[in-house]
Amino acid sequence: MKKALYFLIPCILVSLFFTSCGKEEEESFDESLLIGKWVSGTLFYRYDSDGTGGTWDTDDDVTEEEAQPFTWTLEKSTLTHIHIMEEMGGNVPRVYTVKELTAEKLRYVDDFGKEYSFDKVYD
Amino acid sequence: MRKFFKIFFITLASLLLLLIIFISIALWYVFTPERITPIINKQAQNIFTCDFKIGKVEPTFFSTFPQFGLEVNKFVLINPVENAPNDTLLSVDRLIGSFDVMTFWRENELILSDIHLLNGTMNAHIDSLGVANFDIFVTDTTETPETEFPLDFIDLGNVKLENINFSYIDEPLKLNTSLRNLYAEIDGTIFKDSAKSHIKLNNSIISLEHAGEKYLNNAAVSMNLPVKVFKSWMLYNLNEAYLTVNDLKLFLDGSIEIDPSNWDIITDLIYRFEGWPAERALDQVPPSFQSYIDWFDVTGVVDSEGVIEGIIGSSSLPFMDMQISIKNGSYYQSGLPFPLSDINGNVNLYTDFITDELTYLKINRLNANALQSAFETKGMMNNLFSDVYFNLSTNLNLNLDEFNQIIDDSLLINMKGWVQGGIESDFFLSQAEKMELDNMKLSGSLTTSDLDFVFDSLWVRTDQSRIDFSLPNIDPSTQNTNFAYLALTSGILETGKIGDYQAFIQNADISIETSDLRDTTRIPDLICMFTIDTLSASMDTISIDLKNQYARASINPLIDKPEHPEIRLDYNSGGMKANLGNNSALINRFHLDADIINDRDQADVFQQWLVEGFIDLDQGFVNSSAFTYPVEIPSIRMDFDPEKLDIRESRMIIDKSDFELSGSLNNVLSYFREDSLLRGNFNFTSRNTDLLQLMELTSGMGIDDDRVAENRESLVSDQNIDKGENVEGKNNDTTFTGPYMVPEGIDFILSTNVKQATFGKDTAKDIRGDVSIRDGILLLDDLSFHTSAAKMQLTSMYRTPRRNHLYLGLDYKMLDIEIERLLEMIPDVDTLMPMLRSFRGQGEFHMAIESYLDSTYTIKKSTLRGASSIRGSNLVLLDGETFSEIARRLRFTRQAENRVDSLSAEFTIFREEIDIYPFLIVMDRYSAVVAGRHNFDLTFDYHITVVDSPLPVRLGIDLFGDMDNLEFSLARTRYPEFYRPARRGAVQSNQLELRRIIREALTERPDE
Repeated sequence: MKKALYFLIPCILVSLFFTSCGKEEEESFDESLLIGKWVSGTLFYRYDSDGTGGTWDTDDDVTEEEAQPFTWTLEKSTLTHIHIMEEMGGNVPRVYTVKELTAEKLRYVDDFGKEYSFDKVYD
Repeated sequence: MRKFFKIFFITLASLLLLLIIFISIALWYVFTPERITPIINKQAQNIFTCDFKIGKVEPTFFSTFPQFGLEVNKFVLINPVENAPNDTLLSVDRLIGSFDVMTFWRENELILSDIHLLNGTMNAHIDSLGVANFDIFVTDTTETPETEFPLDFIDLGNVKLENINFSYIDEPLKLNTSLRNLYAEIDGTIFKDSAKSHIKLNNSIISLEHAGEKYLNNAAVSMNLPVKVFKSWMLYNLNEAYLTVNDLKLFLDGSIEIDPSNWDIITDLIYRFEGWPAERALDQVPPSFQSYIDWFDVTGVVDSEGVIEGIIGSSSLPFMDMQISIKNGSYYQSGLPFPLSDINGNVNLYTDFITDELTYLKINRLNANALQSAFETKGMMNNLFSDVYFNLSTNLNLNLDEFNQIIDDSLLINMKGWVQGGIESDFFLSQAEKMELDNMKLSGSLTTSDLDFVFDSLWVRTDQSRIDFSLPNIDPSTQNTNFAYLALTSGILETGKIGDYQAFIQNADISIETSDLRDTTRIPDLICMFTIDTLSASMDTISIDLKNQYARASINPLIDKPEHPEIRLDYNSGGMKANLGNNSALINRFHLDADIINDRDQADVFQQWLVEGFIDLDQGFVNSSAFTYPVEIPSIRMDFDPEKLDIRESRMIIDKSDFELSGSLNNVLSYFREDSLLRGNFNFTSRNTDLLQLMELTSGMGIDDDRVAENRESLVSDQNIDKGENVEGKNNDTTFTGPYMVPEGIDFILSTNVKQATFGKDTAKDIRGDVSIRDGILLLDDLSFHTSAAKMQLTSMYRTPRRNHLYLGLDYKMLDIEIERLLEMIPDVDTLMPMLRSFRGQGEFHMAIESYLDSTYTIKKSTLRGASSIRGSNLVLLDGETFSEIARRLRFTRQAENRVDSLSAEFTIFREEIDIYPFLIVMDRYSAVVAGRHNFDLTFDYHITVVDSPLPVRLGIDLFGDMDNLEFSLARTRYPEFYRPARRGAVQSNQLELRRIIREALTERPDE
């Protein structure tokens, strides 16, 4: 019994430990603020209003005309990029959680906690 | 008998003695001056109409033997005529004449004959009205009945003039003649208005002036003039006469007639002279004509004979048919660099000096030397007074060195050697002056020996060459090449440009036919045929050696564009060797048959030159610094035309690679006209292929110059950036340094059948499939091949938008792959999915990935996209330590094997992140869902949700860090219901949806 108790106590503790709080309400962002060109260092994203976009990195000697295409959706705070493999026909999805979206600033994180921050670019 | 002769001679001598005594008595006592002088004076009055003076008259016998004669001392005839320079017609110291004694005895008339005039002067004059001062004889004899002197007939007997100064002025003829020291004999008779005489002059000095022109001036003259005079002294018939002036002896035979109406002289003469020194003959040319001949000097001995027939008048000259010979002559004129010597020749001149149509000069033979050079010519020359026509046959032997001084120094020409041969010419002078070569006829054959010709910096040397030429071409191959023909046969011929290039030709036989090359409105028709045993040429580091060549090339103007050429070429070479720096090419046999149209209106060079024909090549070898290995070309057979290249056979060996290419290339011209893609359909077979070398061979085709320049700059920039060097001062290497630029505007399909191919360290066998290059895209479409790791299917796309932005897409399907070998074969997979290093066994690997590369083929990580799936079962964990650690911590059973029962995973690659989507892994008593992210910096962040284990609860474990510093911690389970659809949450469903997207994308074929 004592031995069983040794097992029980940790399990209770673990259960308590892993007992999560109630789920928070997901924040929503205005996707119209997303439309346009964003830059982080040498990395650019362009969101077009039709749900398409392109990304390029000038540090790799890639121009906007050579931008690689993707489609995007923003549902509440979930920003999904489906990067389209131009010639080989594959898709590479990326899912982010938007933390901040203003006319000047875009900030989101991925599932691994990596945060990305962009500034709006006005031509 | 002797007695008879003795008596006869004594008798004859006695009679002669008596006769002499009788004559002496008669002379001394009967024919005394006192008796004869009055008689002479009396008779002179009956004969002469002018004044006269007669000195003492003495009879002679011995001086006039056998006739009796009279000697008059001081005989003078005075007949003043207006405008005559002298009143004295005749004045001589002595006048001796013979007379008939019997007539004198019976009729008391004294008729003198054989008149001999000594030491005196004669002044004959005819005034402008034709009145002569020697018209002094009485014409009416009836008034002198005492003496019967028939003046209609005068027998001059033998008139001798000795030391007489004679002057004859004929104003109508504008003739002024004087003879000094005249020694003459005149034997003749005068009958009414005609006469017959034989005039001899010896060593007299003559001056002759006609119309103010001095034709002779104190010339020593001799004459033998048998002449008959008719028609009131207007017609003179000469019979074998000769005249010597200054030792120039002229034979004359014929007639000379003076037309009193206009004083023209009508000639019908045959003349002949021999041995005239030319310079002395020219000295006789009147001063006013000296200007015509004073610009040259001529010597030699001249013979001539001929006919002079016609009128010498104010507007006409007689026809002269002259045959002229010159021996041992010489000629020099101002401006001629050397005199002509040893001139020998014979010509016929037929001329009236006025009419071109009648005049000709026939050169029977004329040869001369010029220093060491010599020529000989014969032929005809017509139209001598206008446009001279030449029809000559000339043989030459020229020392070219002697002609250098003729050539203007500014032309920088220097010649040595000899030219021998003959030239036939047929042309007018005006044609030569205007270079109307189309109307001239020139042909000949010339042989050069030891020729050394330099023009500026160009030079030609030949030991012996023969040049045959013909203008026009009398035996043309086509109607249009009848303008000229030129054939060159040479032994050894060397040519070049000083300090630039040089060529060596041995045993060349070249012939050229052409139309008029001067016609600039059209391309000439030209046919060139040649056979050349050896041709070697070199320039700088370039050299070429050709053996046993023969060819026929023709050029014709295009029918609708005559200013553009159509070229037909049939060229054969028994061997060719070329070097360009470190590059060389060797061909054992080469045959090119081509029709080429050159349309210079086209902008692009490929459209300007339209070529049709075939190439047949055997045993070629190419050594190029651009190629790592020499290229061997066993054979090439191909047909080509502007639109199509049909490779019937093409074999190539590069190092260990061998290629055999056949097929066709279409739309070539349309491609360059930008009307169509360049389409090729080829079969490529090989026993062994080095793909890198193949790429090297075709890199850069179709890339325009700007792009090439841009790319080159980009490359240099990249290289310099990589090396941290300055761009300036770099020498762009033209060798292939990559990247491979896919040709644009072409559509090639290469059906491959390669037994073995290598790409770097990788080897593939039994490669079958199509390799296509389609408008800038290199596509390996469903290429199947075997490697040591797996049977593979590969679809690959390679685009080269620009040199530093290269697209590479790969779709690998590897079945039954040994994962360990996969990592060896494609090390990049280890970067993408490092966990695979821990497994060994067979699996199935499918990966689609694309990225842009820079010019050094380095992945631009920001452009990297990929999706992959891997399936495996019974995979063995390689790293026992790792297994032990996991087994210890997860409390595996003792029977647990180092084996993963199954593995099915999808992962994506995005930039430097590899996301492994949740997959189930089953091992021993555990089932776990694994997901996470792996970064290119080899850090990772994984989560493991243990969904089945001996524990009553699900555990979550986070693994993070890197392989050298692995950290883990218990965590909240993220995928507890991942494989329980009924209980799957939204996030897990999304994850599965993403896997589906990835999987489906991998199984779909890319749109082509």
